[in-house]
Amino acid sequence: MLTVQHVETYIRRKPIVKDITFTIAPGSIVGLIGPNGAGKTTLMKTILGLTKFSGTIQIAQVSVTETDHRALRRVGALIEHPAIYPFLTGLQNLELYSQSPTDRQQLITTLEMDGYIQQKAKGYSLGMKQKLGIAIAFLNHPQLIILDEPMNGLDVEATIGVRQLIHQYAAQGTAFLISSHILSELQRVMTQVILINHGQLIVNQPLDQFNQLHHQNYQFRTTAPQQTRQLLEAQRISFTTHQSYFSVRRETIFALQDLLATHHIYLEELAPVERNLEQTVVAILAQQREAAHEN
Amino acid sequence: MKTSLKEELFKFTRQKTPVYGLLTLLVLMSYSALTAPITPTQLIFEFGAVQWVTIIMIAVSSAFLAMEYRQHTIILLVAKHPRRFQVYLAKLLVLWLYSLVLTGLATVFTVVLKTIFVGHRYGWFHPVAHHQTLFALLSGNVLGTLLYTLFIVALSLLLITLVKSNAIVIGIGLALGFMGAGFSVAFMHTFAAQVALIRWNPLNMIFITQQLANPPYAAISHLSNGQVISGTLLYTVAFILVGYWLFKKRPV
Repeated sequence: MLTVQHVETYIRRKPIVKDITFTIAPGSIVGLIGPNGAGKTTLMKTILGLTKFSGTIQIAQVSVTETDHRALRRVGALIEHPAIYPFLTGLQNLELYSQSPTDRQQLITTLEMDGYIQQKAKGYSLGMKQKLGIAIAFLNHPQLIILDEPMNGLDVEATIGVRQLIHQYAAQGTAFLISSHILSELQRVMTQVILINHGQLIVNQPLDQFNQLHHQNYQFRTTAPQQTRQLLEAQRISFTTHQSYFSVRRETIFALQDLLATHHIYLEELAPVERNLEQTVVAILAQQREAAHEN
Repeated sequence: MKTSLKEELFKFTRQKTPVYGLLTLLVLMSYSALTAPITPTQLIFEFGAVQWVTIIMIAVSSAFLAMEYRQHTIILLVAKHPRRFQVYLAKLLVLWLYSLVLTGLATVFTVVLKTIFVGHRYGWFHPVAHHQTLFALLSGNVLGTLLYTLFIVALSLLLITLVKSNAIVIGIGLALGFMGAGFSVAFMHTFAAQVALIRWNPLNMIFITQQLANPPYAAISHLSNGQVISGTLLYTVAFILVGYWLFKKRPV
């Protein structure tokens, strides 16, 4: 659906997106994660042909360039702020880009906007504007929808509604590229993770694989904690302790089990340390900073 | 292009600014009719409509483009259309259409005001000056106004893309409207030896609004009617091209 190859974006000669390559298959929900200033919004704008870039961007095998947006005919987007004209009613804002009254009405109903859709958008609250912006992005059943911080200003019910809508469209083949600072919310919908930092792609993995690979620490309890501590220190295996639990890195656990068995110490418990997406991302970024310092 | 035009018309006709523009024109023309003696010159120049139409067009044009950046709708607007030029051209066309409406309204209102205030005095088909009828001179003024609004709309969009401030664009527009022609004349007087070249300066094109309805103005502008028309059109094309180039370069 979307192919991004070796894309580089410069803004005022400063590189913002650096040699990024990834693809998004139809029906995939890709979470675009990264700290502030990582280049997420610029990358999204680049895909929408809004900035000058080098490399190739294709949507359904048709190239997007800064001057030719024909490939974007079936792409919906919500970038930075909802694209709403305050002097139009919510319905008129939808009519502006809508091709089908049925599709339009379905979105109004699903996002529960019937109550105020006939009112001028200038009187809308932040959440109402955000829902209207989302509805505009979903108009005409796009092949690809790009959403930048879609949950901004939404209440719990609206958040659930948008999440369901994303799942429903993805099931019908729409691909999504979604950035959000609310990682817990993103985790509930995405099937693939793209992590960028300083304009570079750090991680591009299916969510399951990402979770497995980045559960790097294991914690365990043994029959002889004192002896275990001495053994770990003697073998220079780095560890931390919390109450009666030891925590070690994933790559050491097989050697560790052999070592303990040799000394007739037995495991009472061994389990991966559960980390949420937020903690994992923070850890990856910290590792990246350390690696950058060392270099 | 048809879609872009349809969308721009949809937005334009649902804003209050164009309606205020129309009402302002009527109020200002009425003010002129009530506060100055009604002469054939007043009728030819449609109670100062050419001046008011220009100012209204500057304000409306710059606001029509500036709102896309202010409301952050420019991102979707540019992304959704196959080519950026379509967006720019559609806005230009809609604004030109509006100038046509303003000019048409000014003409109709001139007829109304004439009927109310002077009745059958100054017949439309009687010669009033230079062996030309009131109707012919008024038609010259209407044509001049229409051509000048092409120039002014293209310039307004260029300026708003360049300076990004509505107030500044309106300020420049007012300065152009009230001092532009005078400045051009002073310039040609100061550098009289280079008048053959200087007469082509853009400020001199303002004379199109007077010259087509008042042929002796050719002596002041140093341009024939044909030259002032082609000059206005060439500057319009140049402003469109530069304006579009700036629009394309402006980050969204």
